[in-house]
Amino acid sequence: MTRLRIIDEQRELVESFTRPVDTLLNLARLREGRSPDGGNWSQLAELGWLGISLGEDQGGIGLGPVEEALTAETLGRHLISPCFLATVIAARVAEAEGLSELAQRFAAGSSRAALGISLPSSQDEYAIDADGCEFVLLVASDSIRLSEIQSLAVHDDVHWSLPVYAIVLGRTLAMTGDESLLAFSRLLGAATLAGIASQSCDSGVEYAKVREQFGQPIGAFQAVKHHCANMAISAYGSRELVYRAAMALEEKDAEAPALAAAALNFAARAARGNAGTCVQVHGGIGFSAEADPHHFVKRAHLMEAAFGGLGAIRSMLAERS
Amino acid sequence: MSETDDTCSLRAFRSQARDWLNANIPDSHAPLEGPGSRRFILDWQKQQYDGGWAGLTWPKEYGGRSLSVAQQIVWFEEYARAGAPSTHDGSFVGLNHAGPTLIACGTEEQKAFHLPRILSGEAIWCQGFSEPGSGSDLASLRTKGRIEGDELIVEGQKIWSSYADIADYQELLIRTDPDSKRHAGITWVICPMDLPGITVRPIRTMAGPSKFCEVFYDNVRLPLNDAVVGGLNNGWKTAMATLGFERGTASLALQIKLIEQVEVLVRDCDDAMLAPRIADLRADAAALKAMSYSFALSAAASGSPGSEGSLIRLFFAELAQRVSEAAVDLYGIGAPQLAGDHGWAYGYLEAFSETIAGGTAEIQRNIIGERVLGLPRGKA
Repeated sequence: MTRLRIIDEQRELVESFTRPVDTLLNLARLREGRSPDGGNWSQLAELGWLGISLGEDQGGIGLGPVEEALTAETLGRHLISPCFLATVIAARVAEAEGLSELAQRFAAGSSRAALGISLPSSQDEYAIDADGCEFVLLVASDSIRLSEIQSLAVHDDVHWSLPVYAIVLGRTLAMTGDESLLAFSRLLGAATLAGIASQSCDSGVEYAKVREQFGQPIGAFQAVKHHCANMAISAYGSRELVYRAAMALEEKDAEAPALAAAALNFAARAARGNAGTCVQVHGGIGFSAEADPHHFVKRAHLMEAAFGGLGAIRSMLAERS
Repeated sequence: MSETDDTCSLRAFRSQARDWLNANIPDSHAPLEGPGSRRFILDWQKQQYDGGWAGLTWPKEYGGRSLSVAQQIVWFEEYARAGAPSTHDGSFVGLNHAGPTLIACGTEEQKAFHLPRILSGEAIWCQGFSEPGSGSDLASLRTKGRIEGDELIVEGQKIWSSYADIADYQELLIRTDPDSKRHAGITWVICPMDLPGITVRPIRTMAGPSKFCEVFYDNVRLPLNDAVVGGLNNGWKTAMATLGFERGTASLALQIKLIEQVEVLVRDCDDAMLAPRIADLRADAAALKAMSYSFALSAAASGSPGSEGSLIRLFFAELAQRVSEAAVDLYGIGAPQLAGDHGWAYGYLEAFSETIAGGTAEIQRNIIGERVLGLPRGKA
């Protein structure tokens, strides 16, 4: 039986090195427009966030999937650019493929990878928030591909809170079907989504405590309270499943790939559901672009899309073992 | 003990459990009601006790084995895998409510008398909490207990008391302070079911069997010292300890069984329309397991269950309904495929009780909103 509880020391360690997150990744930055985290990239690297589980000989910290997942959850709560996830995974792929110099550049923040999207309906490739990125990381159902971006053009910078670019792929530097790297990618996607689900819950609950109508906080009404209870269950479930998958991956348990896929499925639905409920609980201001909730909705969808969409995520678990 | 030793000893424990279960599981299905059900439950409990598999986490001095929660989890996993009889039968209240409450709040005499009898298959317990006028609003209960010398005279009525018709004892909530309102003035007592003045009327459920009952108390005389658990007029607190257990580890065995059942659906699903739904159920089952195991082990490490138990309990209840509904959709009406002992149709219908018994889903959501999230109570 795999270890079933995260050790307090692991949690404390991650809390200590993600402490600057509140100032560095304040949600208000998302109102400023394009590539909100591009300017901070070297600071993220200095904090060590880009190489948590990367080997120390590659400029990483050499920790494991548990610390990596806890970090992704925390940064996911703050809606860090998906370039973070792409660059962290890209560094690990480069390390595994013997591209040591590239891995070091990712960890040092001197090269950045964008998270790619392959739409099932077309042959085209897209990348999220890719301005200033030399590379794109594409996660498919059975492989991870790291390629250069030859050129990019804005595809949609209106609807998804971050710009989505249509890209032309350049040279492919690595293509791997390694099961544990795939599981690692899904784990980090799930952790990010669990962060979004948790932040959506907290944001909705906080608002329900302060917003008053009919002479009392709206959270006193059962119709709103029960929405909040549902969000709490989804957020808690997604976090615990992410931790379990992370521990399984850390211990190289044979169940790890299935658990990572399950975590991605659960967290994707939790993030989308909680973000929508967060908008609803906020009412009119929730529908405005001046408040945070719409960012949660959009980010949940972008993360889902990068893993092939909900259909592909579901089909991973529909296979009979 | 190092982690490796720990893993090795758990592995050995698992294989012992598996061997014993394979050799000892009853051939016949458990009857769902009446004297046949009583006989089956007590025999199976005695068999587990004699084999050393009862009360794994209960203290040794009361017939338990003082083992770890991790070992308890392994036992339940093997129990579910082997297809052993449902733990949600007449043994449930004794093993998961009354027993743990006595361990937490009972006197030495009460513990010494009752706990070994629960474990060794000598006594069945039922619960007497709800009343016709007190369902979700349990604190409004009106069944009276009047003190007369060294006796308590009980008058009133309880309802939805599962297995009361075959039980030896009841964990009973009564109002012992006639001037009290709500939570104050309630006492948790042990009521032997064979006392004069007790009438039990079974009620048929929508799932078929007659297993939950009305119980009438007409001048029922309980010996005061033997009956009261956790102090006179302190019954609400004592009852909450029981509910804490229910939200904690009590339903672990049921949860593990549900997770097993989802895997059966995954294996049997040949319907492309149902596949995505069943994939989601599989993820939900994995989340349930992650939450429950982490919660049970944290509760064991810290000594008290945290408030997350109410999240798990509600998630489990609704997942049980979604799983049985998917099964009915997959196999069709009247399909012969079995879930546990009695088939999916029974399981589907029985699952309607999941969001009612022990606190409706609506009450559970209020509790989560107010006690876990700190949302305000509504103006009355």
